[in-house]
Amino acid sequence: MNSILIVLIVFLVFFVGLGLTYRTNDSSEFHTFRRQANPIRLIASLFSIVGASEFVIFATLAFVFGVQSLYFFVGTLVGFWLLSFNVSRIRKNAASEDQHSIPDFAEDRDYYLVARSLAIISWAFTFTLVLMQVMIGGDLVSKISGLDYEVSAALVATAIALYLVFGGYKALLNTDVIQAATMFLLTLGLAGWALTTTDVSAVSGPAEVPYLDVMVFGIGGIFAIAGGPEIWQRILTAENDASAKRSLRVSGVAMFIWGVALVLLSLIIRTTMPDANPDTAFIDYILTQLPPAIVGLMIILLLAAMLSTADTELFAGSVIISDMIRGRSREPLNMTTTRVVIVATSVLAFAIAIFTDALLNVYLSLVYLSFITGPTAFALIRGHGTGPVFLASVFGSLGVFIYLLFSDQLVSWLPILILVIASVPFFVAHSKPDQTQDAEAR
Amino acid sequence: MKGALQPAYWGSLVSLVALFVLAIVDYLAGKGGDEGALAYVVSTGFYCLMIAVRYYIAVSISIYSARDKTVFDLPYPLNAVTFCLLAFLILACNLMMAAFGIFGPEPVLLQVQWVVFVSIFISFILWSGSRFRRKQIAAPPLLFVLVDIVILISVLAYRPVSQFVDFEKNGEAQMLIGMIIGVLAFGLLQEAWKAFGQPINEQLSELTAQFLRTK
Repeated sequence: MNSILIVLIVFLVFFVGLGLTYRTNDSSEFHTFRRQANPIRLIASLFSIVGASEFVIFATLAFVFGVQSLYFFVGTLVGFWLLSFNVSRIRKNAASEDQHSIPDFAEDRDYYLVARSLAIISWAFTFTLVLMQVMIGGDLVSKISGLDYEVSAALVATAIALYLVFGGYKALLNTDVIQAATMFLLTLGLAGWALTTTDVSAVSGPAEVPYLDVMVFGIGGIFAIAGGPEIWQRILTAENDASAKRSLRVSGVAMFIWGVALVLLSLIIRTTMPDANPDTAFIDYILTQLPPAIVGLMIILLLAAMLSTADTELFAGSVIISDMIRGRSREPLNMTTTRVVIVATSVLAFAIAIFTDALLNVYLSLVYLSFITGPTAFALIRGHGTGPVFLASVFGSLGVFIYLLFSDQLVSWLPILILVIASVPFFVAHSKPDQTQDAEAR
Repeated sequence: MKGALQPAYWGSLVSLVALFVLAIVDYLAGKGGDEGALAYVVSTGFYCLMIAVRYYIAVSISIYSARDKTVFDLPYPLNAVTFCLLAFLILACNLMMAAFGIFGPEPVLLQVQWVVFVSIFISFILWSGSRFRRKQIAAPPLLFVLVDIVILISVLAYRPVSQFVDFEKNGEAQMLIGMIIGVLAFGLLQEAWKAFGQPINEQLSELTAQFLRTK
């Protein structure tokens, strides 16, 4: 067994051990951190929804879109701030109704079929991110240790699942602080270092960029945040409204700064290695251009970032499914159910990771799934729409999404169709029961 | 910090110092033939002494913090005693081989080090088991175990003298050092956050509240 592999295994064992030290038998602590998440933990956790796969994906996008890929981060900034203006509405019944994420808002209005559909779509959203982390993590471990890709992906998926099974949301919130901080500083440092070693005047992006694609991608940035089930989960578990608002706004700015550094870095990579394969350019750049000791450090930090995102998404998706299984009961969520879902999701992610390497397509699917969850969630919290309209819009937009995905047309302006159909309930008035008559009757 | 967690921090710190000294001595050793080999023996001995010292500290503190128990009641100090003996055994092997003029990759020495390596894992399992059975024992200081393993890897990685002659040009070795530093830094930061995260949170909340009141 080679030394590099031993260090990697030690790191993964340590990571699982971290989950063990934060373990709890209290359902509320395991699932929601007793709804006491404070700004530091929230900001870190919101920021760490970007992981190792995002490094790779955005490097790819900067190859394709150049500096205009920054529009995505403008979109995420807007998404975070948009949510911050709606915090009070989102959190109104968070504790009393034991809400966990987007589907709960449909359930509270007794739209059970809509709630279940949203639960499955939200799970699919989080699952794509888990899948990407397993793919990138497996690839990274495989490249540096010489292990087979399948074995590497299995190692990564097992570590994430075990860590979450032990520690749950409590472990996740606590470990994200260090992971987010290191990832943020790492990107800034790396971009700074790349700048000092490159002729800045030679840095350039692609000549022609399809403007419509960029615009749609920017809108994708808004809904990747505003329709992200894991973001709603964090808002619902914040200690109070003020903390949630502050955390969302700071996270938006932090992610934008991070995005600027990453796009800059990606453009430098593009200039340094013009013939590189965009899908592997970032990893290739790190492995070939940096001093070996820094490569070693980077690998560990990238793995930390990857694990941090994977745990966030895996946990959000698993809680949503666990909540769906609980149904209309208001008993605390069953920890065993959540743990079983965590393990099952990890196994599925590993199984799919073996058969696909279309990373960018997986990511775009993810972004456009948020075109369904985002507008629906906003219509629900703002009291618009009726049951049948929600049902029609969710199934209609999902149908269009599936059609576009399988006919390879999830490009250009076409994804906007998903958004338009999902936004219909927002323009339909909700027929509330007449409260005056109810009061009189009482 | 309570119970067995405290020696973990001390142990980690001492190990970290040992790791760097080991790396430096190894590096210097790469520049001289037999002298380098001798330096390697000295560095390994130094490492073993460090292990012995930190387990001595761990045993003392554990006994102190659990006066109602004997050394043999606790799985952790029991293991610590075992490790002390093993560490001195390695040191003795090194010195013996130095005395007989045998340098390079010795199978016996490697086997002894693997015994230590495996026993650390066994101790970890025992320790975790005792944690589950008896809640009063402090959390297993993972970093303590982690640091041990990492140091042993570094010792194993640079085992044959011929390897570290080209250390400066050996990219993989440098990458390994980078990774070890990464794991240690990540581990130390996570442990530090566990210990100091809550006070930092409280301070920040207080400062923010004060700032908002002033505003």
